[in-house]
Amino acid sequence: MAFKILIVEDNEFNCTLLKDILTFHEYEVTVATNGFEGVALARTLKPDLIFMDIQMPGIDGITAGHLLKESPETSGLKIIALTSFAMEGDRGKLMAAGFYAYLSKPIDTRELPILLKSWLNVEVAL
Amino acid sequence: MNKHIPRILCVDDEHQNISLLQAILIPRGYDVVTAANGLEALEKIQHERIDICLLDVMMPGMDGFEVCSRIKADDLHRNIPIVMITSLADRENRIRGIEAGADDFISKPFDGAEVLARIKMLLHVKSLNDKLVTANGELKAFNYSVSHDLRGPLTAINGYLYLVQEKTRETLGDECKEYLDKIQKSALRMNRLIDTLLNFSRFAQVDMCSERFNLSRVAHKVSKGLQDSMPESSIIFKIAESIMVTGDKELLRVVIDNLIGNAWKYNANQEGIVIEVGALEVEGKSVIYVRDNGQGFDMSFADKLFIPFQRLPGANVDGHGIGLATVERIIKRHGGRIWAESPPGEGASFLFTLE
Repeated sequence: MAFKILIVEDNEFNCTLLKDILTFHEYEVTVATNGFEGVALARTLKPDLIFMDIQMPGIDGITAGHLLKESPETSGLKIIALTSFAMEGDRGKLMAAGFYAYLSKPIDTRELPILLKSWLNVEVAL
Repeated sequence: MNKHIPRILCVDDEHQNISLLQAILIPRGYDVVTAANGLEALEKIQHERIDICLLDVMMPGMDGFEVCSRIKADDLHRNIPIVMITSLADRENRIRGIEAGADDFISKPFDGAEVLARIKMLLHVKSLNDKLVTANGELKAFNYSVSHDLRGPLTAINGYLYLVQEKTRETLGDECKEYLDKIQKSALRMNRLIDTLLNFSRFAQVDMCSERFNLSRVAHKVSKGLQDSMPESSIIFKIAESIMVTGDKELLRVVIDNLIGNAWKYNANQEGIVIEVGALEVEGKSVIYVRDNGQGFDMSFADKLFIPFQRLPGANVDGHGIGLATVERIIKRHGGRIWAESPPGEGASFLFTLE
């Protein structure tokens, strides 16, 4: 069965590209365009991986991440932070907030499939 | 543009002096704000959009030097020129004033013409400074938009190109595959150019963190990276051991990376090339050099090498003409100097000092 991936990203442009690439690699992709929607969808879908944009209007990615980590039913989900160039200094903060890993934007489309495998394989191995 | 009425803060505990200054300034159309002590002055500096501060030295409580030092220590207001009011020929106070950051002095009793002349001159300096601050802010905003607005579409081009390449791997003819390959290379090249541009401005602004470290190790790492990237190359490195320097390690790595990288790039196709990194002592100062015995460059271009986007004529090597400009910025930020030498037939040397 295909892995389920949830993308939480308010920027339509970035989101579509990421979605298209993941779909091409035969992942089952769902999209949320804000933090609230993302948290709600994560609860119902229990995706194998969540890509979470950090800078979003409304609740930002860190807050949404906290909400998921707080609740026992979603605390085990793997969340990958989507970070921008300007946030390079904040990576320690993201790791401390319980994010599994981060992916720098602009995403490297050629490297992404390899990273995805490593993120998902770890779970399979456990 | 609206005519801005300059606002002058007069700080003096003696009301009589304030009245005298008001009598000089108000008829000339200046907006005068007053303060009777140091704390009141600092308060007004914070809230009143002051253009110039006339500051008495001798005041009870916080004296003029202290007020001046505090204003000059405040990032938001240090551009406000401060004129200290001292008695005539008070050499010692003037020296203390300069040390506290004062921009100019006037003497008591006031000479109206002199007060006005000094204010006029300092307002001019202030307006130039303000323009510079604005221009720097705009430059930062421009950089931000370069990073976002140019990179976004480029990422999409690259991403969808990748999908097309993957989907047509089996079906597309070789010729078309080659075209796609060329598009990819161009997109990567543009991405690198954006990186370089951003770094160029970032390295001019980023906070420096100074430490003492072994530059030879950095050079070894850079050279190993290059040799790993092209194992068939015959270029030999000679790196002096334990070149100890004091500076920002990350920034100086960029310097070494660029200088060694250039020597490598410009001589890649030649035999018998040696790239040397070392240090000399010149007039008590340590000079670090990166030297090669390759093709060298025309010395009449030695000064142009460090200008952004200037490339040597006939330089058909991949690059953006910004590496050496970045290097010079970093060296200057360290209080040092960089120059290049290329005696005919003896390759190229880049030498720099760090203060």
